[in-house]
Amino acid sequence: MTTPLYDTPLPIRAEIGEAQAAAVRHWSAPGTWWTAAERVAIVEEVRRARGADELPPWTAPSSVPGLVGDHHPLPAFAVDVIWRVTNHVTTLTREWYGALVPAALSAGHYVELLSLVAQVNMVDRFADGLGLGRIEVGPAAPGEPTRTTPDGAAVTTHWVPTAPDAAAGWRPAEQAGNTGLEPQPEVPNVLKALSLVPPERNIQMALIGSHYVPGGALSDDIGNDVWSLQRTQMELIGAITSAGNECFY
Amino acid sequence: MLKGAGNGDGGVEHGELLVRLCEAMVGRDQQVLAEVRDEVRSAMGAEVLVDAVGVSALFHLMNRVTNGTGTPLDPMLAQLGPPIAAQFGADSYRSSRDTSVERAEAPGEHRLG
Repeated sequence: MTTPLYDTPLPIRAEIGEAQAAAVRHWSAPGTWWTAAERVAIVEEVRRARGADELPPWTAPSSVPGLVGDHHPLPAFAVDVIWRVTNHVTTLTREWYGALVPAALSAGHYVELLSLVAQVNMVDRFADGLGLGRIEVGPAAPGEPTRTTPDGAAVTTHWVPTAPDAAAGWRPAEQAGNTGLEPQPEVPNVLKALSLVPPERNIQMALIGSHYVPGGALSDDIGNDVWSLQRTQMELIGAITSAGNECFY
Repeated sequence: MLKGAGNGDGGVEHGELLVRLCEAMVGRDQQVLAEVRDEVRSAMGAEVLVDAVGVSALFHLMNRVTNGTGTPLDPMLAQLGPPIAAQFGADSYRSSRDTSVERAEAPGEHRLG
């Protein structure tokens, strides 16, 4: 089986292909806070950071002569965030965040930027992991950012503000329109993290449902198989990857 | 299927191989990645290779989201966390300092707009 995204005989499931295709379309569309052109530039900068010689985490790429051009479409501090999150995910701290937001970036800009960087890292590592060519990002789509903030968004549990309606169900099959869902207070905190920018959270959930556990069954019986993997294998993969990225959560 | 504890697979079928795949995906050595990819495909099949790479890739997203937003531990994870964190050495992660047990500030505090 092949998908239009990848030229390969590998059996990439339709769910994976559809979710990644949605993500890639989303990358080049106008966002909530960033324009489509800026979002495309973010994708390209993630790839530049990943392919570059690694800088120490304390060295901002914008401080290296010649590394970030004078006419770069993104602000220098956004480029610095992209490189830090891409290449030094183990070094993100509350102090680092506090130095950025709100002095350099609004919380909305930061959450959307972080989400995009995380998505590109994911989709590219999927391609790299299988030895496939990375998906090309399309040209910037027309339109303007919506610049909307969910009602009641506030800093409560995370560094970043989150929205109260993030406690609504996260099951991919039920998320159409991101409305009309019964509250599910037990929703994991990781699924609230991007709720300040709902379109980013929706893509995150689609990627989770297609690559990890479908249908919101995170706490299902550990003995169940998921796709072609045993659930124990899946959790081992998650644990080892998280250890490599020094993710305590 | 869980296997007996005490072997190199960590009690998970093909666990050692999957660990090497994940470590290669965290790293930058394309040759190492290509070799372990071939091993997984030979030992476990192409479907498993795709799904295993997909899960690891997804966690590269999730790890960036949680580390970058200060996502606190859920109550269930907080109960399980300390002994598991000690086994992994995760207490030394920078993110452990900022990954509190879930807490809530007073409603309206730092409210936007």
